[in-house]
Amino acid sequence: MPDTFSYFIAGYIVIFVLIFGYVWHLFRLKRKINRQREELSIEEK
Amino acid sequence: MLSENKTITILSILAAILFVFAFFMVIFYAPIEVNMGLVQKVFYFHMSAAWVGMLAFLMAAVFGILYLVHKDLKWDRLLASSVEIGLLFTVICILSGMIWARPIWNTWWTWDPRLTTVTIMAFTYIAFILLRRSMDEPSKRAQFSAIYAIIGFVTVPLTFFSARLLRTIHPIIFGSGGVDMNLNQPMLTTMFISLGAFTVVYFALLLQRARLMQAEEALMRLRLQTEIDADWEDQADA
Repeated sequence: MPDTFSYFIAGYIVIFVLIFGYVWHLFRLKRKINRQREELSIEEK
Repeated sequence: MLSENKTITILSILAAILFVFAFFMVIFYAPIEVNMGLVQKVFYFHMSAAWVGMLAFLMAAVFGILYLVHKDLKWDRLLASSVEIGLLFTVICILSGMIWARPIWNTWWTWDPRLTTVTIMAFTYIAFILLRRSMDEPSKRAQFSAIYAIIGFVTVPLTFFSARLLRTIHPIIFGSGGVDMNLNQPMLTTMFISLGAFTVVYFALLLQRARLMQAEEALMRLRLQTEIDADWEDQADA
């Protein structure tokens, strides 16, 4: 059986980094929107 | 009836559980293929990513048709979210495929019909995102996006059938006689669990992204209104 362990690890690192990176991007976007909305409502008051 | 927020939360939790479960199946349940070794296990998430990419572009075309019929911006938000997620999974598919190809084909990349068509598909939707960002007027942008998503969908069957109709070195999983690749039962079970998990992940991300897009638009309207109010106050003071 060929030793392809490093490629297996590399493959799953790429998959996890991209998926969790996108989820993290959405999470940060949500926090940014909430913060800006709060700032605007304070400005309005 | 569940509220929209509750539905999204439940779907997200389910997606996370299924994703972890699918990964555990890949690691502990699916056997190691004798000719390729461990790298064959990349195939389960590689194929699932390819499936979600194509499903997302199909859904984008469907949302495009729904927008053109109903002229409701809700469909435009779903369309844009679907393309974004589809592109993410297409990139995952391409990169994981390259990593698999290096030890198996002895090259990172070759201009095989399947690899070429999937690249064309990815660039079609990268162009979509760039063009969409350059448009400000919401209804014009939605109209453009709907038409682009419907026409752009041509690249999906082109990619899917390229490995079946043209001479290719890319493995075909589902051929005319069912499952063509030499997969045993545990491998097939892992593959279908991964496909199911990625499908649920897609719908969870789609709803989350569309909801955030709606919040972004509401914030933009609120900001505009605040600026207009401030201008009026300035003029009144003057």
